[in-house]
Amino acid sequence: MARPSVRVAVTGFGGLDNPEPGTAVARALRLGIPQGLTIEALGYDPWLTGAYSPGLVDRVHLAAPLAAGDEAVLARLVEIHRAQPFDVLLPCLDLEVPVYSRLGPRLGQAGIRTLLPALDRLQVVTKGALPLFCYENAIATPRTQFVASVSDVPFHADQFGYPLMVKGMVAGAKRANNREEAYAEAIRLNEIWGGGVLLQEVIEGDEYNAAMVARADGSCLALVLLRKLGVNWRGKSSIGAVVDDPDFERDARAILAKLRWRGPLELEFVRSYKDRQLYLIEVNNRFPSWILVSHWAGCNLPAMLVREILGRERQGPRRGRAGVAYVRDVEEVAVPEDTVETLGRLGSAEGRPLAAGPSRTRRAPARGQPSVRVAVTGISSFNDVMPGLGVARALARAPEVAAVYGLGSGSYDTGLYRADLFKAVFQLPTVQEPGPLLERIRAIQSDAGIEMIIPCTDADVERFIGIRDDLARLGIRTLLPSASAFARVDKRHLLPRSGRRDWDAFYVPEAALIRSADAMTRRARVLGFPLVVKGLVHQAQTVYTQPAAEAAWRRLRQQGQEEVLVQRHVPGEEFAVSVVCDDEHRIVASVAIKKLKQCERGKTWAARVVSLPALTESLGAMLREIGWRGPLEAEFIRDAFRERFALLELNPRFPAWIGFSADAGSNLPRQAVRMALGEAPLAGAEDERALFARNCREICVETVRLAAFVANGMVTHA
Amino acid sequence: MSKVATLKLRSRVRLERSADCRGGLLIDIPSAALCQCNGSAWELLGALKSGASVEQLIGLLTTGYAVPDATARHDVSTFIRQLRSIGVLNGAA
Repeated sequence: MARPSVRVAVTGFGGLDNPEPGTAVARALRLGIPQGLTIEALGYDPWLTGAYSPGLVDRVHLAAPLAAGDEAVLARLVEIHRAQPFDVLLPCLDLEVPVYSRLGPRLGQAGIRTLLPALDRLQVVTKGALPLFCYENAIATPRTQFVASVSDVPFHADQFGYPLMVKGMVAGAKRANNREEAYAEAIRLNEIWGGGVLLQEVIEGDEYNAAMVARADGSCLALVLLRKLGVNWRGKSSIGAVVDDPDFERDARAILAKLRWRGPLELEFVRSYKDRQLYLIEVNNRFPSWILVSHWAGCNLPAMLVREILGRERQGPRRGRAGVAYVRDVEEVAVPEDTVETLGRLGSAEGRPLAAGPSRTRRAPARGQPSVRVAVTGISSFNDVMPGLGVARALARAPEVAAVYGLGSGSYDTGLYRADLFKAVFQLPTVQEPGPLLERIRAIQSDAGIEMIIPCTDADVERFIGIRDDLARLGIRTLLPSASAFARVDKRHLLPRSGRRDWDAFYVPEAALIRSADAMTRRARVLGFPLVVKGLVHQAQTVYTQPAAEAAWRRLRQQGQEEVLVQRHVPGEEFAVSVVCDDEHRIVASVAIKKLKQCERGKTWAARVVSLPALTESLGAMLREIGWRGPLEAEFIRDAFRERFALLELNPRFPAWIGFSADAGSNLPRQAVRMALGEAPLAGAEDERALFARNCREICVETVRLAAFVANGMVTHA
Repeated sequence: MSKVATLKLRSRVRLERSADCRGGLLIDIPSAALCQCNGSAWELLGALKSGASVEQLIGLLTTGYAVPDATARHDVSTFIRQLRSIGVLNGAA
């Protein structure tokens, strides 16, 4: 067999909903070097969900933690290199770059090539040092102050004025509108990164980024300029478009020249609304996680960097072309437990082979088999991953389904661009009144002939309950609970009242609804600490002290939440059971999972199927009493002290991980469709050796298409 | 003697009417500017595509939408500021 011509090791495959850049770098390499490429993925724990993307990497390896010191890092890397030789190392995490820069000459001796900046150049772009670099080089930058001790943040923040940005010393930044927010965010960021925080002036404007590669002599090999179009709750760019902007390019090139850099680089700017001045706000010493768009812009920076390192890049300076954009969505895969177990035990495992994705050409239903066109709502992963994406993925494997349509609300719905899932996506009105919704559904039915709707957000379930009878008259099937059953699973009613009942396999932890600061203080004294403070829509936070409980209350009030739920903290591992109930309120299909990895907002990004018959039976008893019909998810913690399950929440819809039910052999959305069609449920045989893993995946979109949905009320993929 | 300034959209800017014909989209691919516009904004953009003075834009609002002169002046000024902030306008202020 011929020796592969390009062998690369890449780091940075974790990060869950805040993806590390390695996954995108590897994807760009696969597209930019289509032949003879092998990729070794390096990480620090087995949950490198990006590395499990089918066909992306050849092998996955655990590296030595950076905290173990340079010698340990080098020794492990050389060990991996001996077993699976690679020619180029692309570190993609901020904290790794100084380490590998320091180790560069020794890596070279071992046959591992890199192109990284010198240590003194890395030092000038650290968050703490950047303001000085900007001052010395007359580069516009927002006023910034370093605060070493977090307890000093309220004082300095008041001097600074609001709003301001609070930034961690390595990563993370959040806007704070008052002293309380600034202090809370400073505590959070300092706990993660240490070393104090930075307070930075807010420049109101659009955000722009430049990704660049500098050659060994410091000159610019290529660059891609990007404008952030959609920034999510975390402040991260989930949607961005490549721009052609001579002023921006001139500024980026001038800064690069002053940096005397080598290798990949990202410059982050804000362009003031007031005078269009670009302010440099951050310099990152690695590729950004949006780097895949550089391939679609005709300027694949990771591939160019690898060729440059190998001495094979012959092209002159290049820049990405405007007109393409990326939208960050998710990819969900089933990973054999052996892969993760082997990686954890032996330190190396094979990557996942390329699998055939869901075909856009659906299998025709067998003669006599019913076939239905289904529409689903909740089709975005812009902030949180919504269940409609997983439902659509599961329905792609349901022979009873002729086509799946998306029902969206705006251009930030990432499902708009999922041609693999949806035949078309239609815009629903955002107003709450039932009249416009029904009118719109009638028009969509006339266009696409939809015969069934599965609402996949709590709010949509409520909206569609309101027009259920009208939909039935139109011949559109639904699988919805009654309005009273829906009200009974609302956590506002369920949790404070159910504490009196015991449900055999589970109990409901004590909880209370809070409507004032005084009530919070009193209830916290009764329930003790730690205490879980929950907003009624989302945002659960565990607090450990009375002042923290009061601060959480005030924060949720500032966000407009009139009521807050407080619940006794239950320590333990988390589980979920998703079910479909029939007209008699019996569970006809169910899947239980154990959550293995959750993102910062508590959403499940890795899980495994488990068998929990007693828990499911007790849940069934509760749902019969509630009178439930249709899909639902129950979330539990296995109380580590009482050794019993504690019910945390009932969600009146499928969960976002439900696509995995199809991978695991018990396709619940398909069961729901069969039930709506009057077909008998299928016997499920769950594969308990399959693990669920989700990673972020960028989709290529023409910039002009980003606006089409709002303008036309629909997009089609047919 | 004062000279009347003409404002004009940059030639690369595209205007696309929306499906319901109540407005449209301003699209500038090089700067990735994508703006949805209502009916009155659409009318102003139509004028700016071929070039118009501030007074002409104000006239469009006062005559076409029966907007008081002071309101129209304020709205046109805000609108022009927004267009400048996204970099799609040629011409002096």
